[in-house]
Amino acid sequence: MPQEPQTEPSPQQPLQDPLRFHRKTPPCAVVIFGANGDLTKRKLMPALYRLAYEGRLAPGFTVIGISRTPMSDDDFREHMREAVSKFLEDSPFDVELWKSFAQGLFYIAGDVADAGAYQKLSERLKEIEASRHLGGNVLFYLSTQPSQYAQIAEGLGAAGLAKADGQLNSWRRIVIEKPFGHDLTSARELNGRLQKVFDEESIYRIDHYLGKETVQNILAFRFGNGIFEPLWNRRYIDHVQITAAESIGVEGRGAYYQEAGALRDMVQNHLLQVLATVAMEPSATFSANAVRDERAKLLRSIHIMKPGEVAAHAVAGQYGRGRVGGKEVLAFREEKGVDPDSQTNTFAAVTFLVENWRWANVPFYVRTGKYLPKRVSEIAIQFRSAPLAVFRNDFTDSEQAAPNLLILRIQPEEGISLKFVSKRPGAGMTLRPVAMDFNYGSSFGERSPSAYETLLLDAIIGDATLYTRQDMVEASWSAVQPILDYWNTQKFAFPNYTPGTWGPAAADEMIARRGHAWRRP
Amino acid sequence: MAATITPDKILHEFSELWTSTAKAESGDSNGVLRACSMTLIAFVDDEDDAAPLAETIALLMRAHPSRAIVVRLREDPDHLESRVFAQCWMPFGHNQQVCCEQVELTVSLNRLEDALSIVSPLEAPDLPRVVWIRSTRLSRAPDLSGVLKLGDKLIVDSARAGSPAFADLRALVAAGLIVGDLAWTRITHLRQLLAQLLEGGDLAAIKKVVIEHCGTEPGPEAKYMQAWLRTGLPAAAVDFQQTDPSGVGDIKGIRIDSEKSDAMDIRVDSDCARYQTGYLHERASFSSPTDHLLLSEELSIIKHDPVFEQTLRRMTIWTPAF
Repeated sequence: MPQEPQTEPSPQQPLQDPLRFHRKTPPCAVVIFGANGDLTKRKLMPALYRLAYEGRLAPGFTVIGISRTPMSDDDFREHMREAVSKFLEDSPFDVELWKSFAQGLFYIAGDVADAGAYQKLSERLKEIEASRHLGGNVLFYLSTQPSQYAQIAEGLGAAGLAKADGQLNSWRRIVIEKPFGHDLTSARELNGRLQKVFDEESIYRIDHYLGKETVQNILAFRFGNGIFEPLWNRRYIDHVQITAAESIGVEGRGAYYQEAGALRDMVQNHLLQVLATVAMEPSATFSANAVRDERAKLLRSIHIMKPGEVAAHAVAGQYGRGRVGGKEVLAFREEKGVDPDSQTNTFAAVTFLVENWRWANVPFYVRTGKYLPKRVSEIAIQFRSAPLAVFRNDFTDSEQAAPNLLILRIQPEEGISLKFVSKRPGAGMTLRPVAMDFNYGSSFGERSPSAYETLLLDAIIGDATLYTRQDMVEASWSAVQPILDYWNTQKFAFPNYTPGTWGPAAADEMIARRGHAWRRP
Repeated sequence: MAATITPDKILHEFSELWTSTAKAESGDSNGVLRACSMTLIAFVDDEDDAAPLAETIALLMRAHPSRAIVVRLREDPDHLESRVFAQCWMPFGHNQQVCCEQVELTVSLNRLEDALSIVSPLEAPDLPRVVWIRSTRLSRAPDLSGVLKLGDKLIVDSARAGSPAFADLRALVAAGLIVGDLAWTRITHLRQLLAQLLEGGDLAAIKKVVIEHCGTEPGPEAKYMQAWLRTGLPAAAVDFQQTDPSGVGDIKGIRIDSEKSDAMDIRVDSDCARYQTGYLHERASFSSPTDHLLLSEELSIIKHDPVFEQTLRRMTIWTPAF
């Protein structure tokens, strides 16, 4: 992302119009491993089709799907047509455009454990390159089991596919989905194996939370306005609450979720990235590495808990049986594929402390969970109270002298809300808290791109700003590893919260010890 | 006695409008979100069909919430009246209405000056102001300087009757005004496709470009396309070719001949282009160029547009040889 958008065409590209045209995308092939899987059907292919619909993809754009299921190119095209027409959101399905787009879809049946599959891919890429002129550019997208990431990267390396083919400015990139390891050690091992094949600059670790418009808008809000940054520190901010609540359970993913849990599934990646975005220092430029340097620096500043500190700073929860909206809900341990004695957390609340001058002693409370009262993701920044309570006797509402709150809403109603105190109209000086709301442009009714559209386009263009880097992944694992280690030694009295509530009482007690209370989103 | 309206009266009506809208939205809803990012002043003819115009403005509000001031110009003298209302919508999945305010002034051409004195104080402070001229009648006003002073940007549509001539637009740009022309906006998709197809090629090897058009003469879009290609492809002769005498001069196709690569042929429809270059036969979808989408693009650029201005300077201005 350039700091100052260019507005004039360069002499080398006299037909460009930077003010009006989309960012240029180079011709390329996207090779999807796990092409018959759910993610490809629900997210990737609809996002790619949508990009084609908007004219964002270069002529000759190609997708090569790979999975074990035997299928012809035409079968694959038909499967993808069904998927796109079913899962495309907020957009019409244009049959004519699909016909054109589908000409660029190809399929290879192969097992990622088989070296022959990579050989077939190499040959197919050469054929397609000759007919569709892809400039030698290939984006490998690993939509497979995480345990196969390193193996696929090594297979690509052994087949000579990981290095550009020598055409001018051509590139090879690899995109991997979270989880990036299941702990610090495995994350390091995965990074090591990937980097033996691909340069770090060519590895795109996708965290779809960072692709959300509103998470990106945090940067615009913080660094595009002059008035907030002077307040953005320990002197004025009392504490920060980050909530990512889901109103549903594991929805048939019990077996997967049992291995992950809320801390690994949400906190280690999405929520720590959000925390880093809220708390990072401004970068000198808006280049990918400058922004990621600051995020990484912030993540490295998070206090690493000692084993004796974990109990006071982290709370695990697991839902039991209950009723939500009149419907009976099974306990997590009763879900299909889940161990009846499972110790997996379906709720996690953590107090993180950031050890730098800006944030010393400002707690960042993070919570996430399944079967909470509603689906909501937001960041609440609570400011310190006025130094002198001049109006302490003039509040009539139950909220009393509520401190100023700045709410950055990520979903579902993206926007910003500032809560402050105002005089109630009429005689006398009675005060009440009011909220000043701002809804992002995207939520005025305009369609905003899905996170996958944004991130796929960025990967094709080569903009890694919204992708996580090795040091960021390892720093965030470092922050949660002591909690995982400690929890592994514990036998929890699960279940400890009822579906439809805001989690276990211990989460309230954790925050109450510092004189705070969770905000009701 | 001629009717009078004061800006204060309209501002008071705005205030009452918000109070009543907020009251109506009590109960379970989250109330009303008042949104404003600019002032949009539209000059239209009174007989202009109100429904499509209202729809255009309502759709525009989603991306560019504005205080909209619609000035409806009519022929019969001494008419001046105003109406204030809110444009509200509930974004999908939300439980809070978003509302923008709109005032409609219906005014006779002979009282344009009175209308301008009302419009100016109604502009939302500290926010950009855009004037959109859709009226064919406005060009007969004795002095347009007051209209030009209302906005930070002026938007016209050369494809509509009564629009300023290219020479006038060029003079306005030369005078430092920010100008947008929806005829230019209409070809953004096609220009982008061309830029993409020619990306990385040897532009100096392109010697001939033919812009095919319908109608007896090329329309403003075709003329803009010619000027833009002449600027970007200085070695090429860029000419017009009529393909069908019926129609209004729309671009129907573009053929590009290069000394070093395959010829390129693009067939253009209102919502797509089919192109062929060597091995590739593909289709690019375009959004239908509705006023709402064209205006939305122009409202996103409230600053000088160097490519447009350069193209405008390059336009061939035909002067009838009387």
